[in-house]
Amino acid sequence: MPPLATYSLPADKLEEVADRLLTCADRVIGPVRTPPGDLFFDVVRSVNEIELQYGNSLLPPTTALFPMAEEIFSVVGGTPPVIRAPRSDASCLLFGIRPCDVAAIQRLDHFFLDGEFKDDLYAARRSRTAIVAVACSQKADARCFCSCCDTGPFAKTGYDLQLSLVDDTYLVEVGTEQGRRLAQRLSDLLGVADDDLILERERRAQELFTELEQKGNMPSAIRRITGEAVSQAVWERIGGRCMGCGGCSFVCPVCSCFYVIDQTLPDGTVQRIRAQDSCRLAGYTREASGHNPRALPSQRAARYSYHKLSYRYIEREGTQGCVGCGRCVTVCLGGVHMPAVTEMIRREA
Amino acid sequence: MGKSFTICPYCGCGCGMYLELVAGHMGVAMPSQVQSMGAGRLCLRGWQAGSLIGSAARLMRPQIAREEASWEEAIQTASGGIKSVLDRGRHALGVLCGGHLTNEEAFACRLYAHDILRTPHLDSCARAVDAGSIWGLEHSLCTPYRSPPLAQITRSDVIVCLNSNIRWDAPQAAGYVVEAAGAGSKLVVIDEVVDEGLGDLAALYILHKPGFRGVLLHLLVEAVAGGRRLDAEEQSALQQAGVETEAFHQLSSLVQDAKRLAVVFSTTALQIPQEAAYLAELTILRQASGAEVAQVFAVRSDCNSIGVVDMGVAPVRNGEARGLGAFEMLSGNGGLQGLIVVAEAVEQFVGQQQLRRLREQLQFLLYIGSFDSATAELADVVLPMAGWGECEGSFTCHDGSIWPVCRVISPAGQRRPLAQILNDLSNAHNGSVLPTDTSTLRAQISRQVPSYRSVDWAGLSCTQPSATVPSRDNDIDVVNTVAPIREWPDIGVNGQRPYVLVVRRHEGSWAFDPRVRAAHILAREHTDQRSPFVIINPRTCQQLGTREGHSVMVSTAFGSQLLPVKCQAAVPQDVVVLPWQFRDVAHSLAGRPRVDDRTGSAYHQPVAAALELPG
Repeated sequence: MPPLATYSLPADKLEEVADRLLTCADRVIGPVRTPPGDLFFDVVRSVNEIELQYGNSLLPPTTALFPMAEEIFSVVGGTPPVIRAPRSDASCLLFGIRPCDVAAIQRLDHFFLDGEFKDDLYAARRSRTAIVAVACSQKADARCFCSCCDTGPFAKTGYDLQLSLVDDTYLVEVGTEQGRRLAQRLSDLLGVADDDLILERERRAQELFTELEQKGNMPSAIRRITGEAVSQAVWERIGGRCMGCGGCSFVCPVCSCFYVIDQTLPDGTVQRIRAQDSCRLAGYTREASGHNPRALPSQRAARYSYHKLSYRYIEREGTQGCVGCGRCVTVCLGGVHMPAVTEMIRREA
Repeated sequence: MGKSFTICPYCGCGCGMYLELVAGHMGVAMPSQVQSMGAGRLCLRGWQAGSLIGSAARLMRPQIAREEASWEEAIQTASGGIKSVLDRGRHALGVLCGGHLTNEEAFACRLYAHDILRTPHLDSCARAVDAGSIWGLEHSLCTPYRSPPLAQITRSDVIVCLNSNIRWDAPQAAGYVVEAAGAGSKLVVIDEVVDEGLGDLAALYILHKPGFRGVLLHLLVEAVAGGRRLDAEEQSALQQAGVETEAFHQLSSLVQDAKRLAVVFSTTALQIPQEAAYLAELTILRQASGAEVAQVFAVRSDCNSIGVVDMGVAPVRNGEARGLGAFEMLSGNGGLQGLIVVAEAVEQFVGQQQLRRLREQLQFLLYIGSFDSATAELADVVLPMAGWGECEGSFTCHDGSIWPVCRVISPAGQRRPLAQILNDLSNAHNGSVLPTDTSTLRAQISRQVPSYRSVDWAGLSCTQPSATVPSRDNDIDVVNTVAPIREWPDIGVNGQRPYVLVVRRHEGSWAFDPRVRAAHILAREHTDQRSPFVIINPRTCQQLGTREGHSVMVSTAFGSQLLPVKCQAAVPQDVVVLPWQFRDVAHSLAGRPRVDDRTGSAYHQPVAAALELPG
């Protein structure tokens, strides 16, 4: 889908853009380093905190929409008990997220908003969130592989504003009406984007695309998984190496498994919590009877990969369940992350 | 409050993580990429560590005989109980601490036990679990042992890994092994079962008979030292160990040719202390004969195993005083009349039956801890202490580096910091005052623990940890040195008992840790790891005419028990694996673990077993 409008922005004005955007929402979440040096998408208090030249953050920015843990409601004792739902009208701006994460948000939108059931918590957050993406002008991280998933190096849809660096100028693309309103706040900084700038961005994106790893494992894996042509031995090998940490799910910007728990606080209040969960864990599918349809790690590995890559799910969800961010490569203790799995499947063929 | 850097409170890997409070009461943990121990990876326990904060299974109020009480009442009752035990002599009282206390908490325990109670019986179960391995390593290396940083495993060209179950006991170490093997290092796994996940990465998988690993390692040292083939007697020993000659030669060649050798194991994997001594000898031999580097990476059993010992939580063994080790205290044979247990659910180590027997012998049991447990249930007085995330402190990791442990929330309910509880007890005991704030404790640590003198506590950083000098740094003689001996196990397999029962760490070996039971997803993951079962080969199952989930009668010279079976192809057909966490069953089928006099560590030996269908 072509952008609604395009502008140019001198690269040295980016800080001013970020500074102004800080006032456009109650909460701006951007790439910020902790004192030890880890990068997280966190609340930005000052523009100096934002770091745009980053390798992919270990936790995805999607945690701003689907947190690792959140309160659904709480019940405060008394007669009668009072139910409190944590509702906030605060607006949020996600600044500086990568195109792969933009694609992940589109997939989460589909899961939480477009199905038979709409998730109120997600919907409330999403409706008040604007996305300012920054396209990758170089490979963001040694481990990422967006070119295999068609999610980068720049986003085609899903953003409100997207900034792409071309030498000393940013191409600013407006993706939505919300983005147009943001652009209006920056109008005195934005210029006309001439065709040369747009074409140069395209050319460089293509150049980067060809530079990025192109092993072709992903299409092969999709074909073989969809056709149920992957042998049991491969799943057993993958399952055997999986150490069951669940890390691949916890860092995946696309994964949406969750678990609901009630906990009693010292003052007697009962909190209902939703926490991120993983289908790689045995207990995720254990039934009350004790029967577990996916008791073996190999069965869970197969299920995870089916959900990510089988064409049946791609057809239902609109996109494949991997956006190529490469986070699973960092966290996987057993070395059976998505690129390794797709390679094992292709090698078997 | 945002994300605070801290160290994982579980195993000895020392993974860096951030802790963040959400919804006012719940913690979320996320890995740190820049901290060298974890490099962005966590196991499931690490990922779920945040749920310890806010868990409803925490102890919130003091208890006397399981009834809630005020702090004043509880302290007075506890103090009275302690005094009545001490009236029988200072040797009548023992203090047992958890290996996940911070350095500051452990030091406060030492002050309380030695200066106030004056008992020589002070120990931690973590030290006792690790002691055999550390004794073996220090015996061969002739120097105090600290592991190199685990990340250095990836620099090796040959890795010798003991037991594929390292993935459950020290997942981060296993992660580095996998990373190295994936990058081309040659991996050798030495194990008594076929494979629990590292097999397809291994260049060589050495399968040996249960109980014969010491023999195998001894032969390996001989072969590597002499650069020769085995003689007839040694060949026969190898045969007894169930190792194929060709595989053994491949193993010795790989070790002899290694330029950068790494020996990796969890201290919980060892069956006798000598195994660690042989492994250390291997690295010494290689280092002396041309290897660039040869290192032992022994991962300890708890997150602050080292720090707790450094702080002096170890039995006093100087002069005539002989403090009891943790397992001696728990055996009930040490003549103790009273026991103070700090932050340790001791039923994990000795089982509930032994704990009840011990309780009957004790006049008084005080439990100071953060989570409810069987130990707390049996205690006369329970004092709730602030747990991980509620107090700042420090951990000393496996390589001797010191890392900060953060506080993200005030102690919940009526929980109090441990140092404050110990000060209250001291005050009630004889009016003494103990330091309660972290900075005073740290100043005293710097004065009294020589290798911590140069620690820059104020600058304790998340990226550049303060390093300690590895040393046996207090006046406590933690280990003795005696020559390793060659042990020839006699398991007693015969026609009547044709199987070998092995008590072994397994996936759910931490299922009875009350912290795990208190964390929602972890508790869910271990619901089927809490009822005893044995693991056998599917063919054995078929031969017996039963199937998975059904029970078989397991009989040994010690006793019989009806247990459901699980099937795993990884288990050899003549082996029956009993997961370590079922302590009561282990005691009834494999006997009491043998406590090593030199180190205080305890080991179950494999025993011959029969399997029969019930009825």
